[in-house]
Amino acid sequence: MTDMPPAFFWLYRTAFVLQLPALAFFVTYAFKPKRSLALAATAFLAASLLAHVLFTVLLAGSAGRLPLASGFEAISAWGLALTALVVEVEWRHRLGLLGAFLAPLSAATLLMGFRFALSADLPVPGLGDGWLLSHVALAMLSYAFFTAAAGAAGAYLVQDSQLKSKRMGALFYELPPLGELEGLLARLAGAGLLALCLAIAAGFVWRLRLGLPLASADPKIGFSLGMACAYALGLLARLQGPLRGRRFAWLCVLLFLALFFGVYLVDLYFGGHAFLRPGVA
Amino acid sequence: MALVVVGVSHRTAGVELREALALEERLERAFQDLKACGLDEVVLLSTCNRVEAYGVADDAHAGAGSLRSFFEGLAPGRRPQVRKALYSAVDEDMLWHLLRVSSSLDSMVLGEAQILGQVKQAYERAVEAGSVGPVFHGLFQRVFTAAKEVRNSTEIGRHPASVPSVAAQVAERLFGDLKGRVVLVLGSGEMAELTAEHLVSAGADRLIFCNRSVPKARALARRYKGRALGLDELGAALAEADVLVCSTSAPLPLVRAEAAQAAQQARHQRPQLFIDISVPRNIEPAVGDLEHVYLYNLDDLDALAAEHRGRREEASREAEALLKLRLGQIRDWMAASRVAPTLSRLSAHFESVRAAEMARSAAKLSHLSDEDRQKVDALTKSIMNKLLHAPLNRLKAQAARGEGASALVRGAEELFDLDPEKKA
Repeated sequence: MTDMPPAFFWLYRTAFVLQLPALAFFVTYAFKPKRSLALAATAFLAASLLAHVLFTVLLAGSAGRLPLASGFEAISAWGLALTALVVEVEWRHRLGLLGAFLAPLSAATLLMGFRFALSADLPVPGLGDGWLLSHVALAMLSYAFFTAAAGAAGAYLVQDSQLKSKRMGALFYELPPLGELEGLLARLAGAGLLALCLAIAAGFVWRLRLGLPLASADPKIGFSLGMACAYALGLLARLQGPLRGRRFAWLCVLLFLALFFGVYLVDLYFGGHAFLRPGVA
Repeated sequence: MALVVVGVSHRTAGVELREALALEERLERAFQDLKACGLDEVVLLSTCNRVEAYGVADDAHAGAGSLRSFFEGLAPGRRPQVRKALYSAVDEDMLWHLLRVSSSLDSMVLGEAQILGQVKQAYERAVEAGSVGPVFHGLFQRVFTAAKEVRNSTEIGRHPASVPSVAAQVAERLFGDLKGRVVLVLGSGEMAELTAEHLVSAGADRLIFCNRSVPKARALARRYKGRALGLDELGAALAEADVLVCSTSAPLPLVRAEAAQAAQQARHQRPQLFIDISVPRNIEPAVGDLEHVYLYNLDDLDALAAEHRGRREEASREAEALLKLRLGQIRDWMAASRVAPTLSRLSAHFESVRAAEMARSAAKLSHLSDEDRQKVDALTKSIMNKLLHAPLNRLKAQAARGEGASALVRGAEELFDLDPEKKA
């Protein structure tokens, strides 16, 4: 963050601030489902996305590279991908309420970026390597998919509990059908797993090209492999039957929490990822 | 000109009387009879729940009288009953009635979707019969727009209100698109068939009918292009079914928890909706404890239907508020259309006087250039428009208020010698 012009950072703050009214509108929509509220929420989210895109473009122009070189930049990419995903899902499917489950997560991701922004992240030398850039971009994309899957899982659990208990609140009529939510959840988790596997593979290729051994004490590598295995096993168990429905939804929520706090804890308190500390790899 | 409606509905007449007055089979004759009665325009609405005649007449009292006589003539042997059941409304009350009927606020099942289509059909038939003029053309289009607005912007028709339709809604909320989903119908009762019909309307296209009597199952399977099975094949069919509709008169449960559990295992825990509309219940209550089985019995569905009816009641108040706004707009349009011919004749009269005076002065103004003559022409037009501005506005405003408009119109026609027979 040391080389970031302050004016750019204001755009990031604006993107975060614009998420708050979007969140408020989505939550209001959950209690009073009026189409205009969902539209207003989506409009604020789209405005936040615009500010975030502008911030990222200016940052890239000023640094002369893709802004994926520090903890903050990676988190910012995560937030950007997630917000784009929420806007896309809302715009295309007009679900209204799914945004209420996803918008808090995109706001929380942006908020997490502030914590990283305040730390003195150093850009990584040798960033021109396409494998490293692909690694970070794919990892952040996978996080966005997992975050969206957690939002869809929350919606699934609410809908499932209403159908099971036969007490239909206003949400029952606003949320997508349970079958559609389950399909969406599986697709998002599957896409996240694919992106994470590709990210891990790209990271290993980068290490090999630098002549680094594949085995490493880097906590982030172990953490990411663990996450990939957990999602893969979860998806497999879902296909077989034992982890179908609400169990898979709970798994997605729990794995997301592990991911969210894992990223935070590993990067901030366990020395961070190796690529952020060249020489430690 | 007056608007009038006379008719009977489920509120005033029993089904027998409504049947006796039904116009469906004698519409052509009815239009002829009513035109002969002196009504300028007529629309006849005949549904299971109401038979009504809407008319435009010179005089409200006479128009209503003609329509009453017409209805009494339809069932000559039951005149006293018909007379008692008939209701009528004129002008603004008729407008309000038509708005409420078209928006399904006066229906037996509040918010039902068919009535708007039936009113549209009645209007189209009247157009074909040549009994719709400028008043009903404009009026019915505005009523249709208002009714559509009520349907789209309130929750009046959003929630199903009968047990079979609620069952279909639960299936849709569980599975989304029902296309390709397997529906197993156990039993051949009327409710089971009705529920199956709603599920088919919602997109279900793979039906299996299972019955103790295989011929009965076959008959239903033929009707719905499904498969027929005997009760001995229930176990296998259960594993295949996404939705089970159960309505038999069996005294003991036909679907036990063990069988449902086996079905769940066979289908890898994919979700199932079990709808039990039998009394006594045919599905063991413990089936509902299975994680991926959603069990709804008659009481559950009835409670949801009642809740939906409550929501419709709530929505009807919102709908009435909306209709009141639209009523005001339609009233303004009617008032404006009533004075429109007079306004048009008045403008035309002034313009003809102006044009004649300009022509008469043409020789005197010959020394002027073309540009100057155009200026004079524009000046006279401007003076004429300014003179007309106040009276035209006053007439429009008076018509909108609906008080003394006819007297003012007659006064204007008298003062300026505007012959209504002359075309503007």
